[in-house]
Amino acid sequence: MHLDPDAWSRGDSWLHRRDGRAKLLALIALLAGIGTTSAPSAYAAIVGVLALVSRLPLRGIAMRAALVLPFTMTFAAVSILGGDWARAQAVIARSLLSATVVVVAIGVTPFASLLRAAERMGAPRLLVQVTQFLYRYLFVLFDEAARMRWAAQSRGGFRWDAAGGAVAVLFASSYQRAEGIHRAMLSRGFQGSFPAIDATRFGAPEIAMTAGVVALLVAMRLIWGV
Amino acid sequence: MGSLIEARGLRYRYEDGTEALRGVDFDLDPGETVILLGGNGSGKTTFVLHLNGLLRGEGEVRVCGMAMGETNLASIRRKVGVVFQDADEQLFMPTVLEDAAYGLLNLGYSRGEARSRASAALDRVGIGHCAHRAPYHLSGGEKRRAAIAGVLAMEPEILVLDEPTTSLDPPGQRELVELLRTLPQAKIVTTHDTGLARGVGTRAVFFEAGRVAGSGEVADVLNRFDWEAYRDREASR
Repeated sequence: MHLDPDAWSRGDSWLHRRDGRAKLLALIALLAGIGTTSAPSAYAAIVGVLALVSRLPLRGIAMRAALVLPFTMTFAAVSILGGDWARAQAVIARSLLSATVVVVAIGVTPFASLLRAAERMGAPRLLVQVTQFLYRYLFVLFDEAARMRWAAQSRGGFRWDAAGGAVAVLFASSYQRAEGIHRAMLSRGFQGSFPAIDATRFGAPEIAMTAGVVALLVAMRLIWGV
Repeated sequence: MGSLIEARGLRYRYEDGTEALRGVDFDLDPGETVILLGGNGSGKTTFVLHLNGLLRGEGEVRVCGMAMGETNLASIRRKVGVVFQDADEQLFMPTVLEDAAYGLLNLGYSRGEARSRASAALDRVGIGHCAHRAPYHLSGGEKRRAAIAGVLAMEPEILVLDEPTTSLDPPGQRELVELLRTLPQAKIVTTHDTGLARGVGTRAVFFEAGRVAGSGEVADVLNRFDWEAYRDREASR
């Protein structure tokens, strides 16, 4: 298996180069705006501009954002059954726009930078470290599980009663791997934290970006009432 | 000049009662590349884990004249760089460059200095182009090189490599031999790979049941313990 969830975030655009904290703050502000507006379509222009500035493949963004549709459609269907078409449309527009903003934000920020930004904004360090390790080793574990499944299939197929044993083996090998990782960390001077070489800082462009997004959202709400 | 590593009467027993080391005496001199040979469970890996204090048994270990102990541990780990058998366990940071810089930042280097030294170490082992990739996406050979770069970046005086050719294809094995030959550090290499042993070793030490059973020229030790023939027999079982 060769998933590469960080493929987009290795690109280069004005948004890619911004500090993760600015992107997280702008994302939270946009999500709050979209989530509470009475006219979500008014936000489509902002989301569209962000998608263009990100230089990410537009079709890819649309496809990933559309993954929320099965869930939203269920809620929309309930509204339609109640005869409230406007509400159904608003639910779909809100969720699609929110998903698009999230897809763009994650697409322009490597996962490690996103976690670092969360840590610098006060998220518990332990939680961040656990998430970082989970992200790093999740695919290694997937591969291990896939190999075990192939081994089972090669010898006659999958059986539920054997699955429990397989999970136990996977747990034991994960535990062993964790010990190995800890040894490797100690060997290179682990002192309880993961210092970052990420040199981005919250400078003038970041202040301008965050303030600009917030000011625009406030203006939309107060002046135009959307 | 004295030995870089001196081990005297080293004994270690795992929690399950397995006696992994039963009195090991060992010396590493500057400029040497010592190959540790021996069957599975003979104590090679347990022994190398004692060289930077990851395991502590009975007996004495001195590194560059420093006795193994809590007070010297940080200095000793700076002197002894360990490259583990499973590169996936060694490459735990999100990108290759961040991984190579990990030890440097722990040593107190500034971000800029750590970044440039880490980049230089990656170039040194020939994978500078992989700097911004996730370790998961590297090939086996690239992972091995990235793991070595993370240790080399810290400029250790002694390099310890545990089964470095595991999961490498023959071209990868040859490249690793070439790379190790160019590194000036004294080295300790545990391996079953007789090609690697002959290619880089200046001396070999044979482990058997937690003891040093013999030591000498690589070819002599391989012949004395009938190691290549033994391996062939093992492989054909």
